[in-house]
Amino acid sequence: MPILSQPDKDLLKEKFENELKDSVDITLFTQASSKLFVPGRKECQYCQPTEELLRELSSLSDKIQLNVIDVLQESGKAVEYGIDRIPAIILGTDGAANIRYYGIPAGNEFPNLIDGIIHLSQGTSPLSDEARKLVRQIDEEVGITVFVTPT
Amino acid sequence: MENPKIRAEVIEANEFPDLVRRYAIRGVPKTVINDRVQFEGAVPEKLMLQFLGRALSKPTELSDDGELDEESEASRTAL
Repeated sequence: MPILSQPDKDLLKEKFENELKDSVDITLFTQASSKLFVPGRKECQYCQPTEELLRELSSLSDKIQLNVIDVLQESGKAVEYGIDRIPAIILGTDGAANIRYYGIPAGNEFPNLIDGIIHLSQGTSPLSDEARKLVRQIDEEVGITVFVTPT
Repeated sequence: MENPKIRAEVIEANEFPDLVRRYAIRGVPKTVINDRVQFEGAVPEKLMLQFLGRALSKPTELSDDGELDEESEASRTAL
C-alpha cells in the first residue's frame, strides 16, 4: 500500500525538479521483516514503512539515490557507519554524510527530511554568513542530537 | 553541512524509549550537544551558536561569549 498520496507525489516531484541540484545519497539501514516468528528477535516496527516511504521518495527524482542496507545481512556495514538503532537514514552527498534520522520520518518530520535533502543537494545551509563562519572554525567532533515526535 | 566534523542526528522519540529515559526527555524538541549541553524548544540561530560554543572543549570564537544572557540561561537545563 503506498504511503504517499498521488497529489503529494506530484507536488514533491515538481519540487525536486525545481530545487534539487546535485545528487543526494540516502542510505537506509533496516532489517527485512521475517515471516517466521523467531524467538528473541526484535521486530523493527517502523522499518518496513520507512523503507517503503524512501523508495517512493527516491522514485520521484533521478537525483535521489537510495541504498538500502539490511543490518542482518550486512552487519559489518552497520558497524562501519556506527549504526546501533534502526531504522536509520543517512543523508549525504559526494561521499560526505553527516545528517542522520533515526525512526520513521513521519508527520512534521517529513517536511524536515525533504528540506534536508534539498539543502544538501543545493550545498547551502540556511545559516547566516556569520554563523557559517563561526561553525567552520570548529575543529573537533561535535554530535548534535535532536529528539522529536511526529505530531 | 558546513563542517564535516559536525554530525547532526534526529531521533524520533516514540520509537526509542531507552534514549528518552537516558536523556530524561520530557518534551520535544530537545537538543543535546556532545552530551554536554542540552536545551528544549526551538532556538534562534544566535542562541544555537552560544550553546554550540558551550559544548566545545577547545575554545573558538563561539566560546568567547562569556555569560549567557537571561533568556538563554532559562532555556539551558543541566544535563
